[in-house]
Formats: sequence, C-alpha cells, structure tokens
Amino acid sequence: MQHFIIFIFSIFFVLVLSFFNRKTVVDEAQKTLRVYGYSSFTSKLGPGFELKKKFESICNCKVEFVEAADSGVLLQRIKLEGATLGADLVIGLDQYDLQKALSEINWRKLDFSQLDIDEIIRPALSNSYFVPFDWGVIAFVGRKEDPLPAPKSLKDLTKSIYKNKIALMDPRTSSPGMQFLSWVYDSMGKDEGEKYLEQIMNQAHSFSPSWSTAYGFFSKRQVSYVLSYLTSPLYHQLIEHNNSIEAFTFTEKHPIQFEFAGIPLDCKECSLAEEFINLMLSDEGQKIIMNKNFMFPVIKSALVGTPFEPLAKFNHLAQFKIPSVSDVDFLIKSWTSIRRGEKNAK
Amino acid sequence: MQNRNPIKTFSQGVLTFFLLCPFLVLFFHFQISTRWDWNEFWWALRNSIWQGLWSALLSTCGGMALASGLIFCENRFSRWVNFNVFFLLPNFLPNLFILIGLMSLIDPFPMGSIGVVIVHAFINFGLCGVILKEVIKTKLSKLSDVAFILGAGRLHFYSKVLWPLIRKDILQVFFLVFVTAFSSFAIPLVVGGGKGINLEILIFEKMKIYNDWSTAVLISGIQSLLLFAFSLMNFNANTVVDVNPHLQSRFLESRLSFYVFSFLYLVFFYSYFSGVWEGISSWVDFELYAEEIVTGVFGTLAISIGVGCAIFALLMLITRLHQTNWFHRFLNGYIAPSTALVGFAFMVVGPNTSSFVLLKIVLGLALSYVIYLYKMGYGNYLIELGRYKEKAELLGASENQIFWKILFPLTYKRMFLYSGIAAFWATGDYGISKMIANRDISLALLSETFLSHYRIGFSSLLSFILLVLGLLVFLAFRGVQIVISRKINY
Repeated sequence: MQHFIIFIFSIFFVLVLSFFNRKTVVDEAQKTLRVYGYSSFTSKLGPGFELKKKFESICNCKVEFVEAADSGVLLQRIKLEGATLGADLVIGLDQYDLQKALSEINWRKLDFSQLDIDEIIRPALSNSYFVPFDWGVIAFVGRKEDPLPAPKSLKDLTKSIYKNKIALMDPRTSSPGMQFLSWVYDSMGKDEGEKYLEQIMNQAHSFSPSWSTAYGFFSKRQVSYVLSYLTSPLYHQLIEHNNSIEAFTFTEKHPIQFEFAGIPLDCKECSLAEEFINLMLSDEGQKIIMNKNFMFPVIKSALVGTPFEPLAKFNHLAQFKIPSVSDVDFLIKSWTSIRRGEKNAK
Repeated sequence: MQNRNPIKTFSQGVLTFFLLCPFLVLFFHFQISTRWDWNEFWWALRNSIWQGLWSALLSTCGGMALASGLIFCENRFSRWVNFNVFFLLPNFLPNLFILIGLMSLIDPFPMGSIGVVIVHAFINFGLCGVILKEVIKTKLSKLSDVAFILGAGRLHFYSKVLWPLIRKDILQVFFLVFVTAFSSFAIPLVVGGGKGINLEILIFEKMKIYNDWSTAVLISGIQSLLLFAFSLMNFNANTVVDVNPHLQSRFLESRLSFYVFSFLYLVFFYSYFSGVWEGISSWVDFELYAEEIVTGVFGTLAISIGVGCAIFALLMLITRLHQTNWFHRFLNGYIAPSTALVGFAFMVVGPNTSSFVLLKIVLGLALSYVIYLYKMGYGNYLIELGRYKEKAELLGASENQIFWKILFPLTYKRMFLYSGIAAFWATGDYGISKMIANRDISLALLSETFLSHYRIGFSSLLSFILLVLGLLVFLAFRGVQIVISRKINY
C-alpha cells in the first residue's frame, strides 16, 4: 500500500515540478511593461484588456498587468516587487490615496497640464506626479417605480420613511464610502456633520465593505437606494435596456471622484509607461475607459456624441481638492469615534 | 510512556514551524512598534466573544435539532438522496449570496452583531447537524432502542443517556463554531457594519486603514493565544460505545425538525437560484468572456486539487507524527492567523511570478484549513486510535509498520473526506487568493470582478459553477478513496 501512495505522490510532485520548471516562450528582445492596478480595471471587463491589446499592437512590447486587492496591498506590492521585478505604471489610485502613495513611494514627475479638459476637473491636474484618466460624480441611485418620494438632500436621507432603505459603504474600506463621508463634512461642517453621521448610522441598512456589495443589495431589491455614481443608470440603460434606474440630484453639491495613474521613480520601462498613459488619454483610449468603466473621460473630445455627454454637463459639483494625509486621518478618526459613540450608547 | 524519537520530534517542530510561519514572517518583516489602544481592543474582544458564544450556542442547538431531522431522513430516504450535502451547501457559498438569501427569509434583516450571529448560525447548522448525527450514530446507536423498550421517557433518555454520553462531543462542536465565529472576518465585515467590529476586523483595519502591520500581527497573536487558552479545556470525547448505522429509534429522529429545516433551506435556495437564473439570461457574457472563464475554471481546479492533495499530505504527516502530547494540544488549540495576514505573509515571501503565486495560494489555504479540519474531529479520531497504536507498540511493531499497517488503513477514508472538503472550500476561496494573486486566476476572483461591474446575475451564475466544480472535485477525492479501498481490501 505504501508503495502505491508514494507512487501517487511522486507523480503529483513530478507534475508540480515540471509545471514550475516549464520554459515559457518569451521573446528576450521584447520589453515588458508592468502595470499595477485593480482587477476592475485590468480584467477583460474593464478597460485594461482593450488598452493592452491596442498598446501591444504599436509598441513592440508586452504589457503585464499585476492586480492587487486594494490600494494598501497595491502600495505594499510595489514596495516589495518594484525594485526587483519593476513597477512601471500604477493605475487606479483615487484622490484619497494620493498623499499616502506619495509618502510611501517615490514617483516620477509628470506634466499633462496642456490636456484639453473641462475646467471643473482641471484642479485634478494640479499635482506633479499623478494624472487623472477618468472621473465620476457621486450620487444616490434608486428606482423610478419606487413608491417613496425621491430624496432631495442628504438631510432627507435621515427621514423615517428611508429607514433601512439605504445601502452605504464603509468609508474605511470603500472609496465611494469615503466620498460620502467627505460630502457630509464639506456640506454640513464638522459639528453638524458629526450629528448627521450619528443619525445615518442607525438609518442606513448597511455599511458594506465595498461598492459591489452595496450595489448587490440594491440590485437584489434589499434596499431602495444606494450610494453610487451619476453614470450608474447608464449601465442599466445601455447594457440591460432598463430605464427604471435613476440618479438623484441633491441640494448639496455632489463630490467628484477621480482615478489617477502614476509612474514610480524606479520604473524600468519608464518611457513605455508614459506612452501607455498617452494612449489612455488619447481620444480612443478615453472612449475605451468611458465605455468599460462607466465613468466620464477627462478629455473633452471623447465625450462628444456619446450617451455620457448630457450627464457630464451636470454642474452641481463640489470643488475638487486632493485631501492631505491629515484630512484623510481626520475623516477616518471621526468615523471611528462616531462608531465608538454608538458603541457606548449600545 | 512514549519513546523519544529525535526525527519525529524534529518533524513535529518543522510542521509546527510551517503552521506558525505567517506570524514569524510578519514578525520579521515589520518593525514591532505598536499604537496600542486598549479601549478599542477590549471592545473588539467583547464583540468577538459575544458573537462567538451566541453563534456557537445557536448553531449547536440548531445542529442538535437538525441531527435528529437528518437521522429521520436517513432512515426514510437515504436510499434516494444524501441530504447532508443539501444542508452543508451554505458553507460553500459566497457571503453576499448567503446574505441575500437570508434577507429573503428574515425581513428586515438585523445588521450588526445580531445579524452576524444569525448568519454564522445559518451557515453552521448543517455542519453541526452532520457532525452530531455521526456522533449519535456511533455513540448512542442501540442504546436508544434499549431505552425505548425498557420504557424510558424521551426526556429521561436525553438527560440520563444522551447528554452524559455525547456531552463532550457537543461541547467540541460548540467550540468548533465558537472558534470559527470568534475569528470570522468576511461576515462581520459585511453584516457587522460599524456595529459588529470583532478582533479580525480590527486586525484588518489596522492593516488596511492605518497601515499598522505590527499592531495587526500583535492582535492576531493575542487572538490565537486566547483561543489556545480556551482549547485547554478538556473537550476530548469519550470512546465509541457501539455502532449501529441504521438507527430506528423514535427518541433520536424528528420528522418536524427535518421538515422545518428543509423549508428554511428551500426558501434560502430559492432566492439563490433565482439569482442564478438571472445570470443564465446574460448568457452572452459567457461567449464574450469564454477565455477568462475557461482559465478561471482551470485555475480553480488547480487550486482546489492542489489544496486537497496538500491537506491529504499534511493529514498523513500529522497521523504519522501524532502523539497525545504538546503536539496534539498545539494542533487542537492553535488557530491560523486571519486570511489577510496569511495572504500577506505568503505574498511577501519569495517571488510572485504566476506559478509561485499558485503554489503560495495552495500552501496558504492548506495552512488555514488543516487546523480547522483537525478540530472538526480528525484530532479526536487519532486519539481514539491511540489504543491500537499502544497495543502494536507493545507487540513490537515499528513506527513504519504501525503507520502503514494500522493507522493508514483506519484513517485514509477520513483523510480523503477531509481533503475533499478542503478542496471544496478552496474552490470558493476569495480572501487569500485575492491577496496573493496578481490577476483573476480563479472563478471566485472572476465572480467578484463581475460583481464590481454591475453584473450580479452573472456573478451568481459563476458562483453556481463554482459549487458544481467543488462538488466534482469532492467526488473525485471520494473516487480515489474507493480505488485505494479496493487496493487495501485486495
């Protein structure tokens, strides 16, 4: 019997070893651009796949995507692998990650100030290291046929008729969740904002760890409203031919979320990385990003004649700023203390 | 008295080192300078204990009731269908789908600690029920018939026969769920909101939000020590009394329990399968993403079979090295660190090229599962086999002979069963894979990516394919077990 078991294990290990020692056919002369990002960008569902195909057809190089679970892991991964394997380009950081990214990794300076972009998003170009490649407006989304009157302001959300009807995200783990927290403080101020957050803690159905989970609750009709993007209804219209989803305009000015790309200082294929950014910011690249991410392009011309164009004219927007580390720290600490306040009350 | 064998002790040390390696890696990787907050720690600890105790209590009570329902259905319907799998399925579904299913059962669903307890209990009813049913089958068997014939009442039988005989088994099941719920991560993260933060979430927050890895490792270490301390309570079950695989006793079976649980699970699965059905309507995605899905299927199979084989090898090693000493206490009490820590520890060690990524995921998952499987009853079974080992030693058998001629023939079926279960779990893993993998190498990761692109229906469909794959791999392990059975019997 032992011989049989040893035989089985030997075969297994030989297979494993041969798998690990297999020689992959790689053109040694071909350069490889290593792009770090999130699966929502790099997968075939996201814009990464098409951009990669396009880029490989013109650059005589290979594009290798490296995914990470979140920005924390992404930055750790770059720190670990960047020097050895090379991290040439990082995609998908939002404005709340930028200062943290700057403090942990050295970045190459970029100058894209001449881009033909809308004035409302020009402040996103004010930094020297990261360039925005898409943007979205944070908004609450609901169904037209819902019997409840549509909420018109953040204050409305605290009304008793909306109790357990709203899916929100935990700001500590979700980028839209952080946008919501910032939205509350920016429009109400510190004291009022804290009171509001205490109320919303008991009012919301859930604070999911990610946008996808919260949106899942909404899709499955567990809640009537979800924090999402102004462009979310477009997905349902264009892909599902469902016109019943709508985004609500609130009296408070809506926050904008940007996604940025940056090149680490110890990149190995730095010029290729810049070329890839150029492709992302080209008219064609921007259209790919817009249609796959359901976010607005930063380049004006990419919008023209698309279903996104009328929505992009939405101008009830809060002023964009890149929060400092202390701003982000304040938001997180404030959330934590409100959570503790609730804990004490329990 | 046990003989000291230096090679055996060394091997035990190596295995212990492997199981502890995530702590060691992170300990040396990050500087130990913590920002300790006692208030936060006590609060999270209190939540962990509260959630653990109530989840364990509810699951064990429900499991006990379900066990009697399962005995009823085994007596009536076992020829046609195995109901165990039906009740175990929630163990393998992604959390979002469990939640959505439960929300259709309980509306409004209470978020926070109570919600966490409900989800834990629902997931563990099946597991507790199946384990306790097996315990009842092996330990009570004919006693219930005898008690019935002698005219004992049901209550009398439960208090004077059932409880004394399987008390420690029940406590062990309680402890198993307690450990799971105490160190649960994904469910409190989704259901707990800001209200149900436990130690695992605190570890996650320290890592993700504050980038404070040293505090995270420290909290994880304390959590492991606490559970180790809990495990020192003696839960070692009694030895087998009698075996009668076909129980007919009226005391032990319950028609009502079977129908009530079946109804609950059917409502739950209705909600799940309606999501899967929605996914079928977006069939066009299958053609568009066929290449990714096929790659995901192979990746899932590689991870799943790899984990199954690794668990089999680890269980063989544990069986070979097993002694009722510190080694058993360690395996029984130790819990692997949180998935985020295991994932991160494996990510920082060695290269992250695609083939190594696969190996790391397999090792990370095997490390996390083997301890759990040991607690699920494998450890106690090894203790029960100790008497055979002692007799063989007295008769002068060598260690090699004892293992291959006695222990292996007695344990291989369980090893295959547990390897199959681990392989099944591995098909749906998201946590460790997401941390280590540098792209969507498995269907579980792909399913999450679809979810983040509004495609919840297609994501449900992928989760269903995952279930089918898991079941196939599980059956493959059972098939190999049958081949080996024939070889042994031959």
